[in-house]
Amino acid sequence: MKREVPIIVTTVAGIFMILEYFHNIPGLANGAKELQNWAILVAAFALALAAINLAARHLRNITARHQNAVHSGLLLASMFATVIAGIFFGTDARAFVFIFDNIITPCGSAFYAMACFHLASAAYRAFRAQSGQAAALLITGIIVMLGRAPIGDLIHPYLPKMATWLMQVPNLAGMRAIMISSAIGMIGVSLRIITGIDRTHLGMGQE
Amino acid sequence: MLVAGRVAGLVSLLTIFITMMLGIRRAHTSLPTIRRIAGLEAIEEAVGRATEMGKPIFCTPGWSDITTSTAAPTFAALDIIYYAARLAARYDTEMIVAIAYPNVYPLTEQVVRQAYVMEGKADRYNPGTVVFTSPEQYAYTAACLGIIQREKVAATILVGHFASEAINFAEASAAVNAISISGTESTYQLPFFTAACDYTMIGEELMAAGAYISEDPMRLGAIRGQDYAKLLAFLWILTGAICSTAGFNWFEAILNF
Repeated sequence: MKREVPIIVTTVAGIFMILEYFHNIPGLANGAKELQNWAILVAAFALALAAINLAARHLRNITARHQNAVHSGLLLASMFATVIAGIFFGTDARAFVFIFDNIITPCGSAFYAMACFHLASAAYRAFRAQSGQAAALLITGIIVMLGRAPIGDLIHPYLPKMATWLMQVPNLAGMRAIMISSAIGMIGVSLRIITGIDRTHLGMGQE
Repeated sequence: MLVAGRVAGLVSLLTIFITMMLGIRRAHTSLPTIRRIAGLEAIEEAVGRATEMGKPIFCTPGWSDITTSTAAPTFAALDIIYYAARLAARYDTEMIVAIAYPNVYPLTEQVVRQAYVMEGKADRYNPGTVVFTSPEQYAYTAACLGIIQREKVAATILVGHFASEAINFAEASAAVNAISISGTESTYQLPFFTAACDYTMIGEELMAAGAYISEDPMRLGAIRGQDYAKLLAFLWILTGAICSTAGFNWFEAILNF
C-alpha cells in the first residue's frame, strides 16, 4: 500500500490536470485551482524542510570549527537578516528592498558577467582543431563571430551573409530537431510518471 | 466541451500515449535496443576515478522546479542521480548533490537514500549528502561553484534544466580537472555544455536515461513508442512543408483547431 498510494495520487492528479487543460468544464477548473493551492502548501512545507537542512548544515560547520566556519556564519547571519526583514517589516520595506537592490542584484550581475570569462576559456579549449568536427566548429565559429562583428563586413561583404545563413539554416535546423525530440521525450517522461511506469523519484528504484 | 485551439494538442498527446503503449506491448515479445549513450556509460568511469582519488563526486539536477514546464528534465535527472548514487554507495565514494528548489530537495534525498538502501548500505548514507542551496539563480551558482572548488571534486554530473549558470559549472569542473558529464534539454545551454564538458547528453538522451540505466522492459518499450511518435512527427512536418509550399492553408487550420 505504501508503494501504491503515491502512484495512485500521481495518476489521479496528472489525469485531472490534463483533463482540465483540454476541457472547458467549470467544475474541473475549480478542482484544478484547488489542487494548485495544495501544491503551494506542500511547497511551503518543502521550503521549511530545505531551510532547516541549510541552517543545520552550516550550524554543524560552525560548531565543528570547520575551516569555512566564517562563511557558514555569514550565510546564516544574512539568511536570518533577510527572513527577519521580510517577516517583520514586509517585502516592500526599505530594509528588504535594500538587501535586494544592494546585495542580491549586484552579486547576481557579477556572476552573470563572470560567464563571459568562462565562455572565453571554454572557447579556447573547444576551438582547438584536434579532429574534423573540432575544425568544423572552429571554422564556423570564426565565420559567425566575424560576420556578427562590424569588422566582418570590412574584411569581406559576404561574411555577414554567411554568418546569417549558418545561423538561420544549419543551426536552426539542428536546434529544431533537438527541440522536437526533446519535447516528445518530455511528454514521454510525463506520461511515464502519470502512468506509474517511472517511479524512481518516489524512492522506488529498480533492482 | 473541448477548449478551442487545444484540440490538435490533445490529439498529439493521445497519439504519443498510444504509440508508447504499442511500444510497451511490443517489448513483451522483443526488447528494444537503445544505442549507446556515452555520457551515461562515463558515469561509472567518473565514480571509479573519484574512488581512486579519494575525492567526492558532485551532482545537481539543475535549476528547475517540479511544478514548472521544465519538470520533466528534473525527473529525468533524478534517474541519473539515483544511478550515480548507487555506484557511489557501492564503491564507498563521497557524493554531494546540490539542490536549487525546495520541492526537489525531499525527492532527491529520498532517491539518494533509496540508492544506498538498494546497495545494502543504508547505514552509510550521510544526511549531508543532499544539500539545499537556493532557488535564487546566482546564489545557487555561487554555492555550487564553491562546493566544486573547495572540495576539489573528481567528477561533476550536471543534468537537468540549466540557464546561464551552465557554462560556470562546466568551467569550474575544468578548473579542478574533474570529469564533467552534462545533460540538458535547453537548446540555449547545450552548445556551452558540448564545448566545455567531457560528455554531454543532448535533449532526448537525457529523457531516455532512466530507461537506459534501468533496462526495465516497460520503460524501454515506452522509449520505442516515443520513436514511433517521432516518426509520425517527421511525416507530419513533411506533409506540412509540402502543403505550405503548395499553398494549401488547411494544414495550418488543423494545427490551430
